[in-house]
Amino acid sequence: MDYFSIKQNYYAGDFAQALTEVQKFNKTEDDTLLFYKMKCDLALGTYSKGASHGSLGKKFDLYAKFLQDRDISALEKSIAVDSSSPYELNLLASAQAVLGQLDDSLETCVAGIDSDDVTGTTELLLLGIQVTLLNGQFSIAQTMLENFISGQEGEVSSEDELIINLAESYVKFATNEDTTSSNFYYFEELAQTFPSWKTQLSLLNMHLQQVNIEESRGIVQLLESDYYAVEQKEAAAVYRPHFLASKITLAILEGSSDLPLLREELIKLDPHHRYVVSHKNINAKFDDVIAKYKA
Amino acid sequence: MKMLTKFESKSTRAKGIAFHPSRPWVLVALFSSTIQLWDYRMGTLLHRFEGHEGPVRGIDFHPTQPIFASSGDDSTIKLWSLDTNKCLYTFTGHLDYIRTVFFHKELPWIISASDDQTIRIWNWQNRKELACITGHNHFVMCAQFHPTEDLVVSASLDETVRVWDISALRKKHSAPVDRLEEMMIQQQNLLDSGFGDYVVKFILEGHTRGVNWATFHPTLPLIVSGSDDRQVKLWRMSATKAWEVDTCRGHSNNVDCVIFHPHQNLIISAGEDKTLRVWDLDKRMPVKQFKRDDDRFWLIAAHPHINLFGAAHDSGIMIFKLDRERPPNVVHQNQLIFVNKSKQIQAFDFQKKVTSLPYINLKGIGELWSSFRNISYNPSQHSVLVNTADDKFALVVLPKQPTGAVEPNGAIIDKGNFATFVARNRFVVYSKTAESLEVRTLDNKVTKTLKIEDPVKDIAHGGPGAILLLHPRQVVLYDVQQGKKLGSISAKNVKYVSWSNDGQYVALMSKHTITIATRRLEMVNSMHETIRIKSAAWDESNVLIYSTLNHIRYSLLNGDRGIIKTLENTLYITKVQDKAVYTLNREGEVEILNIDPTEYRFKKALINKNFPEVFKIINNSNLVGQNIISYLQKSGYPEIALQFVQDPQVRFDLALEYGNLETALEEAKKIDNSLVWEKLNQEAINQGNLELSEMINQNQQKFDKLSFLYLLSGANTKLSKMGSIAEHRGDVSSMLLNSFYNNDVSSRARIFANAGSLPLAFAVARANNDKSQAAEYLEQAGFDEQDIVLPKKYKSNSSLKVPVVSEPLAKWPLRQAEQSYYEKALSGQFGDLSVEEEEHNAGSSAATGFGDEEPVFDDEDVVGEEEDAWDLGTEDLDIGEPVEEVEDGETNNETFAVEEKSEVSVWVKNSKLPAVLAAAGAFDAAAQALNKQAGIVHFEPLKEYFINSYEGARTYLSGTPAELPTVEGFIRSIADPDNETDVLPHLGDISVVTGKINEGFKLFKANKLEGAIEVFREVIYRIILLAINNEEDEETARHALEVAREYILGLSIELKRRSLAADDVKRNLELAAYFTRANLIPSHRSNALQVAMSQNFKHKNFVQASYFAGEFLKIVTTGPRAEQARKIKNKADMMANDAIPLDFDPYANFDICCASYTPIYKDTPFVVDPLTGAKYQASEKNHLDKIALISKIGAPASGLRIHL
Repeated sequence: MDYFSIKQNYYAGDFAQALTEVQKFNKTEDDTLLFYKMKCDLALGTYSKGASHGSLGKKFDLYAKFLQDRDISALEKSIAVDSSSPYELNLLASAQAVLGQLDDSLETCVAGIDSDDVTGTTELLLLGIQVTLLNGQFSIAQTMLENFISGQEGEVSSEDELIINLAESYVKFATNEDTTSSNFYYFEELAQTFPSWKTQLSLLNMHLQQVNIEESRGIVQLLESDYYAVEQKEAAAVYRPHFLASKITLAILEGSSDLPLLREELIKLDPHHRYVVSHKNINAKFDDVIAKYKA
Repeated sequence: MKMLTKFESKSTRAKGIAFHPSRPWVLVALFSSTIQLWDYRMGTLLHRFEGHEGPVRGIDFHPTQPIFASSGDDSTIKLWSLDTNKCLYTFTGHLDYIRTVFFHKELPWIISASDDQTIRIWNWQNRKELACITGHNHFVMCAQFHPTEDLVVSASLDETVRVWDISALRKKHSAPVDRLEEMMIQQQNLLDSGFGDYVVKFILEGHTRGVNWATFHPTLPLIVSGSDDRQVKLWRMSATKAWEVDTCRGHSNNVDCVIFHPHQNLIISAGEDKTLRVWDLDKRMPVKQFKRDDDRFWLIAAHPHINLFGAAHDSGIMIFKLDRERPPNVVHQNQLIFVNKSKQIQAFDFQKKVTSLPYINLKGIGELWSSFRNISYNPSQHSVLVNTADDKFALVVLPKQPTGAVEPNGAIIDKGNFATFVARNRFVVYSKTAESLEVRTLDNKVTKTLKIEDPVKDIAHGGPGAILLLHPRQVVLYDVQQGKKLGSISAKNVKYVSWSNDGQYVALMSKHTITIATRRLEMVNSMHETIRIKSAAWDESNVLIYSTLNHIRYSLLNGDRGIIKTLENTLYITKVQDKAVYTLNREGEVEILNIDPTEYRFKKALINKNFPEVFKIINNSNLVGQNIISYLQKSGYPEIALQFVQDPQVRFDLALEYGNLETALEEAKKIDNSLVWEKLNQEAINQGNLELSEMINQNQQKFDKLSFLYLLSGANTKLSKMGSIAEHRGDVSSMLLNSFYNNDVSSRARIFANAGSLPLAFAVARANNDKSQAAEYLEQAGFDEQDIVLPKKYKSNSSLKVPVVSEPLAKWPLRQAEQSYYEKALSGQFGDLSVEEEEHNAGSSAATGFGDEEPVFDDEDVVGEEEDAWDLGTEDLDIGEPVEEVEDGETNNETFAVEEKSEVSVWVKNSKLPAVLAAAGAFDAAAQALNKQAGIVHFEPLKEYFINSYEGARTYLSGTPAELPTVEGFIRSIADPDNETDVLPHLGDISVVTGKINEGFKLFKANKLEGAIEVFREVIYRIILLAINNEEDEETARHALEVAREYILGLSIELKRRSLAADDVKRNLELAAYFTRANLIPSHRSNALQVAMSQNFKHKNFVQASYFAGEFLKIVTTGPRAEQARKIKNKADMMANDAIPLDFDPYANFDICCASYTPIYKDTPFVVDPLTGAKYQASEKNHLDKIALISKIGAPASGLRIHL
């Protein structure tokens, strides 16, 4: 089956369109369709429990619950690393990553990528790459990607390729590779072709990485326009913490006085956000320095 | 046949594609109106050309000039420059979409086809339209020149293909004409747009729907066309007629483009049925098809020279080749056996350097259009095993002598993969279906079957009786005889294998990785290449020479590697012998390259400590470069590196590194600064070279060190001279010291006496039994012997031992420094070699006077009448405006450690500046550095700046899905630097500091003094966390720091004055006076002077008032303020007395203590703050600096570093 349009829309952050594409198939028992449908529902906040009675559907119920209460135990119990499908492992590994159990998460990903089941391995690769990057294992991320690509022997379907491209762009972003060239163009092209919160925010990061202050301001204004902030308020809510993190970086780069307010809002809104964790961490670190010299 | 994709771009719909004739570039015409220029080898987008309105459809590079043409729905043709990336000219004339545009191969012509039913020919040099060809009665979809003849072929939706004769047009525009005729023609052109310049030669009818594409064969009189009737038609033409030859059916939707293969008898078509189809030109049968899932193909183009094709489709383009181009080959002793482009086997003799005639023709073996995978050679049978692409193999016996491409006689062809000889009379074949290895005899009988667990991707030679099984994730050395595994190594997707000549090492190559292993597959090293690896061979000394797409490179067994040569075309290395690299090119011909092996031989000799060889190479070749010097230093060979350098400082450091005093002295004389002499002295002492140490101490006038040196070495005569020198210099402590060293008791007593210490003089004389002198001192002191009580246990015997050294020591080696092999051999021989070395200038001392310098900040030289917010009248100053609080971004939170590697560690590796350390999150190290450099102890005020440095160098990309933690990215000072040494975090630059200074000036003018002080403190905090890469900015920063200090001091004094009780007149006047001593810019200092003048005048201190008025008038010479000052001065001069004496001498040179606001006159002890340079009374030592509030006054410090 051809899932290209579904995946294209999903990874570009147009979840509603992706759902429409899923519905076109008029099928329910296909795992890939189910996976993307549920993921879109989760992203849009329209997920309802018990929508599917299959095995994957049940795992999704547990995952949705996990996202509410951050209690992974039920999910862990129901998904066995050595015998579950890559899509199921994807849920488990995502949950582990959300909790910061990065080594476990990577192990889960690798188990799925290496399994005989091909469906869903590319999605796991994308997750695995992000997990290694979160864990600061940049060379492992690169090797994983290379191995996966060479393992495909040039016979990559375009629907897999778009996922691999995204994974590659994450690696390049984290390792400052081709910052001004191909990685920038990748996101720019994406933001032009599929303008969405996700793609615009990604492009904003690319501009920040190049200290393009004018362009960054432009995107911030765009995302604060009615079209994005009001008409797409569900997506705006989902991406608000990431948007704030980017605005903080921009505020520092341009020396804006909004900085304390932005920080305050993000800390309140998403205390688990990576920026907030890092911010707390360096604050504490600096307080140690202050204390050390006071002593 | 296999489609090997080399590059893909993702974009919106691509309608056109064109290859650059010589560079790895491709132009893509997009439906979105953009034209992209890609480097398809590196996979980078080089440029985007914007200019067309609406879709771009036609695109073509000029065959030789750096220009290209494009056309689109805006009815224009644009000519672009590749040098400037700008549009050079826009041709207008067409009235509707322009479908295609092509350059003429020789003439400066462009041809275009349009929906306005015309074809037009343009001269791009004189920018004129030469012809407008009419005849089609529907859209013209494509028009192209014939590659050699004066013909044009066009395709139209009127269902015809037409061939036009344009020889008249060429004649008209290339034959010399007289002016009158030219004018007539031009007029004629205007009338009928060149009627008669072209004639329709053939109208080809046969397609039943509109025709989208038609093109000429590059050499044969053939035309191929593609149509909406889903057919590809082949047409033949003679001088007088043209006819349809055949139709290729198979596309299930419109055929939009069709081309001839440039070198092979193939047709390739692209259709909206999402397929590319390859057809046999001779049989018109389908050969192969490639399908995309979602993208309709719009256009296909062939590279003019190399075997590459490009196809444009709905979501971008793909560059691919049809089939592999590596000529299968095998080396046996001095022979290379290979398959040439025509599938014939030839041999090349490495000794004679000649290629044989073909032995045999293998065209009949395997699929016609597919090349062979590889071959294996059996010297005893003189036969080859050929592995074809269709999972078959052939065993072909070669004729004894090559006599031309004869047909094979009795070849054995069978199913099976990776057939490889393992013995004189045995070969193995792998069966994919049975997952087993079969050992077969030369008549193809199976003698043994071995089950192999893992799937096998290929088999390579593995030494006698053994093979290498190339699995997807590992390589296994397998003994076929015993049927067992001898060793294995994990290496992914290994495609090719190369054994060293002595069979000790093997290089396993995958697309981007080479793994070097021993004979038993123990890993030696593994390396990654970003460009694809193509081939490799070992030289006689086990250096691996390998080729990538565009380089020949080397790798030593220890992993050191480098580039030997850049390649224009891809080559496959077959053998390396001395300086010759034997390769096969893609045409199946042997090419011999000469390489310079010096670099890798040099490195290898160094690694093996083969010093005579190193010496030989240095002597005989011009091996020079920054590269080799840093390599030598890094590898611990400073003495060799020294031979390549001229810069005195670098030479000095290198020489010192291995203890070469002689060279170090030579260089120290050139550099001649105290630091260098100090270092040299230290090393001289270490080596016991007392003579050198003596010389340095003499030159540097280190008298006490010199005395001590003489004492140690027993040079008594010189030591006694040192005593007289000290006396001569009048240096009492030195005289005393020498008297101890000399054990010269009487002079010691005399020194004490002369210095006014008679009791000590007496004690010395008395203790040494010099009674007469003792009595003399006693008398001078006016004491009697009885008044003196001596200690009870006193003994007059001297316990001093006579030095055992009878003769002065000349040498006292603590460390042996022997001349190295190189030094002995080479010193002085490489004077003509020059190497560029970065010069490190010591930071220049900052200037102190601000007033007369070139202005850096806005306000600096503005002096005049401008009204500012200062109330400077004769009444009390009343400045009570509220001052804004500086925001405080502090938060207290829990700790938790996050490990970071890679990017951050590179930053720290590249610079240890506090700013870089802060951005890297190494707060402790940054704080430590600031503490050592500038005595900073109170870090709280710096918190915000540290955290902003850290967070301003990071950005967070949201995860997929969004609930995942974000991926952290780093912001560098230069986004994509060329060198790793330039990888540094993005930090604020000097403009932030100058901006803040100006903000401070504005607050000063607005009389918001507290606010101004806060801003000037912020200036200092920001300077602390700067990382500057040029001297000019550094000087500006240091200057700014002094400006900030002076303003904080001045304004603090003024604030203090304003807070005084009204009756404290004396202090008020003193502070007003001190304020004028702050080094403000003149326009601001005039305010201070005016305040002091008014206050003093008001309190009848006329002398002081006159002085301040005079100073004021030096700055402000005209206007009402000057007028008033003159009046005050005149009146004050008349009175000429002071009512209140002040602690302020206007003519004395003094500093102001920044804590007590009191003068520090010359010769009074004071302490300095290491960060701000502020001066304090000595009692303030170890208190917190009052200027920046972060550093400890008088703390030992090395000086703030902000220069990268």
